[in-house]
Amino acid sequence: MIPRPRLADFKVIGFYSGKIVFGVGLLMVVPLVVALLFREWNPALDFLIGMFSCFSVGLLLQIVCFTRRDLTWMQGLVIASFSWLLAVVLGAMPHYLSGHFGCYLDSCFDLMSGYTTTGLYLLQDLDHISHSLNTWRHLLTYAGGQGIIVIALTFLIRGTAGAFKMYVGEGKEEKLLPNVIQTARAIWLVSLVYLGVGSLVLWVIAVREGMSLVRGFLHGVWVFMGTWSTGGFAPQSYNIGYYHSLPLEMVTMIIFVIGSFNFALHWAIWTGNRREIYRNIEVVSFFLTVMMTFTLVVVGLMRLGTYPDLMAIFRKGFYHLVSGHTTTGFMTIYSRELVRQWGDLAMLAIAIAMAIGASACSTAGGFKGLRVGIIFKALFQDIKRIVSPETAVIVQKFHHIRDIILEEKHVRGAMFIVLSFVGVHATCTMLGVYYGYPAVQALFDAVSAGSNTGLSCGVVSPAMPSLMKIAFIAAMWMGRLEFMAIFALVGFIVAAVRGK
Amino acid sequence: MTTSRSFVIRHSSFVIGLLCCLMFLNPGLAAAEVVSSGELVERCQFYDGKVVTFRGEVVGDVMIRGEFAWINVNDDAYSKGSRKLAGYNSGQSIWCRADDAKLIEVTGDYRHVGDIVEVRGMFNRACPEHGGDMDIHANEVRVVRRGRSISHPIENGKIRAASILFVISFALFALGRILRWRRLRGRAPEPEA
Repeated sequence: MIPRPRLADFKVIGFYSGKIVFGVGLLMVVPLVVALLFREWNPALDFLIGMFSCFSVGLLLQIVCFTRRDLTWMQGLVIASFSWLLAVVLGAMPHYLSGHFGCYLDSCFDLMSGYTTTGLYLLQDLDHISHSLNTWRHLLTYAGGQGIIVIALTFLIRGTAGAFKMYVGEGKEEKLLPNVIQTARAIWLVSLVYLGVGSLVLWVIAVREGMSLVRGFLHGVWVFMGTWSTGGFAPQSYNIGYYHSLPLEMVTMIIFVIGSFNFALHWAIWTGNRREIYRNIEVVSFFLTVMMTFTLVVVGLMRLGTYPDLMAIFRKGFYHLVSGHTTTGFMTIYSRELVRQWGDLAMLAIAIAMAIGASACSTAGGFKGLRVGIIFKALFQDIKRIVSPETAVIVQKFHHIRDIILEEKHVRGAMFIVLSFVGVHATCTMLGVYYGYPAVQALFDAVSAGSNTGLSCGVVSPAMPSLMKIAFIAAMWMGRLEFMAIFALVGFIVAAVRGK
Repeated sequence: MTTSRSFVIRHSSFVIGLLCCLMFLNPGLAAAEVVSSGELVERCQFYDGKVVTFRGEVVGDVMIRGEFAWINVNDDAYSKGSRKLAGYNSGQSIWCRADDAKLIEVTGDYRHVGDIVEVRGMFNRACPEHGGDMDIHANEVRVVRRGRSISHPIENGKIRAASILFVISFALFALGRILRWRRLRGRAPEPEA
């Protein structure tokens, strides 16, 4: 028998979700200021409408559901998943009002893509959108990369023991500092320092490559946000190919690789533990899988003679491979070039890289290097056990900030998440094939959505069937929150309907 | 001799006349030299190394690089001045002489439809000079039509909606403050801790 949730459960969920939605409204102040600076009056009104809608819903929830109760695990997880949905629906208002979307579902798609740092988009006529809307798109990925709950924890929620439960619900488990609020602030400190330095470097490059000071500055900040958050949104429809700049490609690659590392690793290095970068299981796993998948990409491209020389193979092949592996999604080629020039082998290699993804507790998506490393360590442990004498005790360790003995619970946890991802990728691929897309192309874009990457070979478009849009929104949401919070929300709804 | 020359003249005028009729009946044939960006991407092997004519709106920035420049030219529905939604942007990157690029006065953005240019040059599906980029190295860039401003009149409906929502959120904020104050004074019921 499932116990039906009590009124107190609804109140706690409503109260904290209200705070998070209020936080989303506060975020809109940034694009609003940009709109006023550039005298974009209609977009300014769009952001005012979006902001006051978030404030109204957020305040109403906080008044109606006012509570001083702390959170249980179930409530924390439900808040994480429910507040993301609310943030998407309300945050999509300025997008929709801009007139660049065919329907509200399309704007919700872009919002989910932004928050989850995916980078797929259905926005039409990107090359003619306002500066403020472009700021909002990129701010979404920047904020989403750190986590909208991390924002709320930083600014709006006072320290409660239950805060950690919401934080975990957003797909992060690392505690950089003993207190979760301090951890959230540390994440922001790391991100804001990189924002300052990275934007400055990109601004200098943009101006050197022929852009004006003002546009160079805007592009520097926007591209940094899309890069650091491994988001993949870019201000122009040509994506990073717009700039035709090797220095910019190199710098963005460095930034998205750094951005894809675990915040705990950043913190360890910041606090003087530099050896961690060579020993961490995620870094080792990332390096090995990049090498393996890049070999496949090179073989695929050389077999078809796609590029004239090794420099071009490196500049295109390696950039897109690492962009996919870190789940960034930046492109310097046209989407359809993947189909027309790259061929199935290179596309599948990138799909594998996207599926693996980068580090846990980072801005990136995918299975995560930690889990892939754990599964491989478990495999080696089993092989060692088979070849060793029966009486031998085989102990396997892995290094993640500290040495940890590999236990069954680690392997079970990693396998559960990896299998859930595989299920999501398979479902979206099947749906694509059902609607008539070729299997490899359907798989490529499905993995891209589920792993929050954003590379596309052309399946994702405003003309895509609505059911596929909904499936991809769900895939992005599940991929970002890593399933537990979504399962908790589904369980909560079932309990509310069928519980006693 | 005279007979054969008149035969050739008669027949060639017939062929030219027929071609003119066909072009008149089918404008697509008349513009067959202009290749679309979609066709260039989809049939990149075919067009690789060929001289093509491409026409569209210059968007974003003219990025001067020494004696040359990069421009991005869109040939989608929006480049024809339409503001109705018609899918993603599509276009081609053009590598041209800086002097040609300086002819461009208006580039497409939120406030403008950019200059329409006609570019004639060599198409590269993976340019060896530019790290494998798909581009057109222009021999000639011609401004066909000047760009123009796009007006964005303020929508009254949005002003009304923003005003109403401002009043609602202000009222809720005030109510929240009052309830908090009353709780502190002990006049409102304290929720379960």
